[in-house]
Amino acid sequence: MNNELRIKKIIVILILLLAAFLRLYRLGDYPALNADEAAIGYNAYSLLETGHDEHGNSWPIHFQSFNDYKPGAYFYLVLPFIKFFGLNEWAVRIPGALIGIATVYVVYLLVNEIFAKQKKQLFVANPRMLALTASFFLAISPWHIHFSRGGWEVNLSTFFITIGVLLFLRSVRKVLSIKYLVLSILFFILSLYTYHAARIIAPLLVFGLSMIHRNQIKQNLKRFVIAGLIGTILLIPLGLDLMKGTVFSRAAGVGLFADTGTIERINEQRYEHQGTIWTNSRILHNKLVNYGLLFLNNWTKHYHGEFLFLSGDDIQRNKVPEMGQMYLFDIIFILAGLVAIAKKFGAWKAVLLWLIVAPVAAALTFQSPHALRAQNMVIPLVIISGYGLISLSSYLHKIFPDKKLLGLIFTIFILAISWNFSQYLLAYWQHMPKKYPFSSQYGVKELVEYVEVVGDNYERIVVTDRYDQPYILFLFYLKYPPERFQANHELSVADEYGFSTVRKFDKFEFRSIDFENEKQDNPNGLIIGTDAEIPNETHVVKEIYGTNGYKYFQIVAN
Amino acid sequence: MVEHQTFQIANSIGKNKVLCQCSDTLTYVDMHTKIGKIIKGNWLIIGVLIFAAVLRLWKLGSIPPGLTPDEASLGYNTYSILKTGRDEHGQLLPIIFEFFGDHKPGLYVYLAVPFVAFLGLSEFTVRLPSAIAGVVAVVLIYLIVQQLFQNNKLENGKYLEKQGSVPQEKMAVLTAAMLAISPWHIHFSRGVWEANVSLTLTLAGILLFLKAFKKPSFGYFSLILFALTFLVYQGAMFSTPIIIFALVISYNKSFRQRFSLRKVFLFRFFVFGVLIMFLVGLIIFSNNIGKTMHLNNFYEILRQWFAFFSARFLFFEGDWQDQIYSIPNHGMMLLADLLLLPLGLYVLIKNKLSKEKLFIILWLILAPLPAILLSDQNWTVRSYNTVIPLVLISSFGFLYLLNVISKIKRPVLLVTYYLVLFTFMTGASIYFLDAYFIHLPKHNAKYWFYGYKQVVEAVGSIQNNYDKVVFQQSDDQPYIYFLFYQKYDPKKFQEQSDFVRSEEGGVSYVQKLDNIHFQKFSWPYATGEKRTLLVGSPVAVSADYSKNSYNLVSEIKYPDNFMTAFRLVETK
Repeated sequence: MNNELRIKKIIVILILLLAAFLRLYRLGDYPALNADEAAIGYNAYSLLETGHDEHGNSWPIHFQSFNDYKPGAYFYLVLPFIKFFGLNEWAVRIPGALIGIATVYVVYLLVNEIFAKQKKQLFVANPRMLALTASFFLAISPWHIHFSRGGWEVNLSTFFITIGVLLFLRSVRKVLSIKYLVLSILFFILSLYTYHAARIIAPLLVFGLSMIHRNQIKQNLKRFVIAGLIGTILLIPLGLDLMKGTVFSRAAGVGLFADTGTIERINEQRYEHQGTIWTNSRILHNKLVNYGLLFLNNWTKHYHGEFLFLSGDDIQRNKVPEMGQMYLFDIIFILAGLVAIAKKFGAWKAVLLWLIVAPVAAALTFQSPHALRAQNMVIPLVIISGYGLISLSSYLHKIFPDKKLLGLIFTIFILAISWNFSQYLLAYWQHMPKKYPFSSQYGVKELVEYVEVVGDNYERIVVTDRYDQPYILFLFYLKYPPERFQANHELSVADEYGFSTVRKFDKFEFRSIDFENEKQDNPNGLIIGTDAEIPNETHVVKEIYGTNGYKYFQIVAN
Repeated sequence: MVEHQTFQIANSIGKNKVLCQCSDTLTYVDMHTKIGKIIKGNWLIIGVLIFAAVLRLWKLGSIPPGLTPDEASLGYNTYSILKTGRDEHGQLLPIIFEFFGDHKPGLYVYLAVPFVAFLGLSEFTVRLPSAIAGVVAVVLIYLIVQQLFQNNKLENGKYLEKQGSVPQEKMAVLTAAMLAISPWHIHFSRGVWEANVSLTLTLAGILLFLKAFKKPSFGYFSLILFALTFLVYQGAMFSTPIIIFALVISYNKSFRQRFSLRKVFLFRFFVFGVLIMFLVGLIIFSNNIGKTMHLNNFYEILRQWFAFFSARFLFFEGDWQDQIYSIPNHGMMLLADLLLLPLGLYVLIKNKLSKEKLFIILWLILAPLPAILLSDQNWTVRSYNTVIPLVLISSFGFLYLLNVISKIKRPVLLVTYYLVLFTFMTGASIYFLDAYFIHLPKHNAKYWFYGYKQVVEAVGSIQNNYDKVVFQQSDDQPYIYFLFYQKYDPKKFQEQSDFVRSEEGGVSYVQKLDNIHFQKFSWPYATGEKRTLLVGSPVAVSADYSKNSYNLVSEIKYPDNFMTAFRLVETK
């Protein structure tokens, strides 16, 4: 037994090493830094240097950034890394990657926790086996790796939520131990400070978990109330910040109600009632019903096989080409897992609750399915998939006593997993930057390096704004002094999605290039445009290629 | 086990309470126990049948609005057979009919003959056989469920009542009711869909197959019914073998135990033949006839499979590829099934797999195959048989819910839950009925070829005032509407008709009917002749007709009174 335990420990370490390799290898330079990551890095840098963010707000809870008011926890996590390693891509990303590795371990603990008391609820004798499989599946999960490799706030919030669930269940197991309960609430609240979507998911999870374990809670109501009070106090700063109103603009910009098609549909439906036996149809065709259905539709889209296993998210930044969010082999394992769960339901309530709740926040926005906002869904999915693999194996073991046949089946399993895994590696490392050249801000680093060298010779530098938010990447790569930037810039008026940008700082100006005009207006200026913006016969002094070999910029000296 | 017993006790206590509260009615019922039970038992299903019939027959002629070319063609061929014994091509009592150049089995035509004979040729009478088949299907599913679960085989756990009660009766009525309100089934019962008649025949075949275990002679009738599906619906060569395959796999063991070797052999022989038909059909479809169709590859099959079982298809949008198969803003199932289906699947999977459950699961998984393997658009028709396992599983879910609720001890809560469940089901049903009976006639009018009836009437009343009527030719096959709505003398048509095949082959067209010329023209169209009537869609006959020396005769509007379906103009 002791020996077996040691082997399992070694396996855990191997899984963590695999997770670490997949998340840390070439973390600094692949994929290219995107504008949101640059914003995280530069704001943290600005805080360190001046005590204010890029726009001069002092130690904010939400960072104003592009007027999208990003929740601040990840910024503060990055702070020490920038302090010690300087302002660079690696420092912005390493916390996310480390958190990703930690999540793999937390899932191992979580599965052990769920089934610690309820081994009989499993088709396998030992819950550790399931814990190992689930954490292995998370370690190689495309969905999880993708958001671990980069400064993605969502990954941190998923980590907090996972550890929150773990501690909640541990507290329940230990007769509602106050220590674990308070810790659990603390982590859930941290997730609220980390990411918008967690503000819907975490409360729903806490509520659901409390309902599942309502009997224990009733018996120890006092402790539960104390934990709740502590939680409420911790929420006050967030609540005050949210009440300022500006933060809500972001939620309104991406929320369901931003989709005006629904209103048009209601009007159409009411119109179609005219001249029929039922003319006043407000009771059936109203905002509640139609937005309710839209929400349900969005929610179910996250369980659609096409999204999960075949094509993944529509947004290129959130996915790897030629793949779903999960592996193809997960189809079989998740199905088997669900069947096995249906047979012995008991301990699975928490996991199923999570599976149901996970996409709710994403479904409240108008882009669904959304891999980023629903990332925490990957945790219940890998647990179920792992369970599928294990229960399928034990089932096959039962019906095929013949060792050879069983061996063959396992070989097929292993082949399928490794085949899908290598497909993924190829897609992530080879195809992604070529197929989705705009999924990240490739080329800007190379551009800034060039501009730094020649910039002094020019009075003004005009840069195209075609690729997301170029100003922040310039600030980031130039390590532009924050106090100078804070004093001399202004944010543009928000666009239809609620985003603003900076059009001008120092000698840099950012706008879409109308070449003839720019040429007249900027004598002794440097004009940097896309391939399409610069006319063909112009004398181009330098072409900038991204690391993926795509030509992003053409530079014209005027 | 202990938990189980306490549940039962609690359950019986709960029941006593309820019984006590209404003891007055009980004594009354006690006096008439026997009669009361019989009436009550049958009234329920009779009520369901009346409900099903109303939903399938009410306004059958006008909802869906208009007629599809296929419907009109079937209708006119029925009329032609009735009057002359020959179809529109002059074939004497054919089994395989030629519709627009496409050869299809035509049992439906013969089913429609008596209705057209007694009630006249109309949208209603053409659709009537399918609608009646839909009502019969509700009866059949009731009998099938009774047969399937007659020994309470479904029940291995706590979720169904114990022996002695009649869960199969409850389940049977419930399933019948769920099929009666099923959007998919109603949609295909209201309209000339051969697939619907084929499904009813298949259900009858299944019922007789199950009955054959008691009375073997039913077995032959069962096979005859399965064979008849091939005569009524082309796609049956895919869908029926799948059902037979599922039956054979599930009942193989019981079959061997029950019957003599010779019968088993004969049966297998038949099944083998049917399966070969399936393969041959697949090959023919994928190679020869279907140049537009081909077999999908693995990824495509997976993709289609997911799309088929997606919430988008089942609950929110229906068939988004072709609107004629769907109901506006509604899926193929009730919205309530979004909850009931997963619950039903849970019930199905949870307990031990009996042959009945295996049959339902196999049916569910395999029935979409004809739609998924082939890469063309007729998804919802090809996979139509899947409606039965879906409805069955929903009913399991519903029964499970009822049972969970009935275990609640506090009367207030109990009543509240029943009320919530009732509101939930009626809400979903009303939402569907609204979408179907109010919205579909307006929203989908153009997919149902609305306007042809009106335009035929308009042209018919004035066509003799003109030397020549030029009618826009299209794949809508306008000639068939003239034949149908004018009740054109079949004999006269058979003598004068000349069918012209399209250049690619396949589709055939009629170019002339009396003084009506069906031809494609591009705007502006100069006839060069006086006294000509020009009829076409608002695109073909543009709104600037007066500039091109035409006068407006009339316009046919869609039911929304906004969009124009047809424009009739005459030369100045």
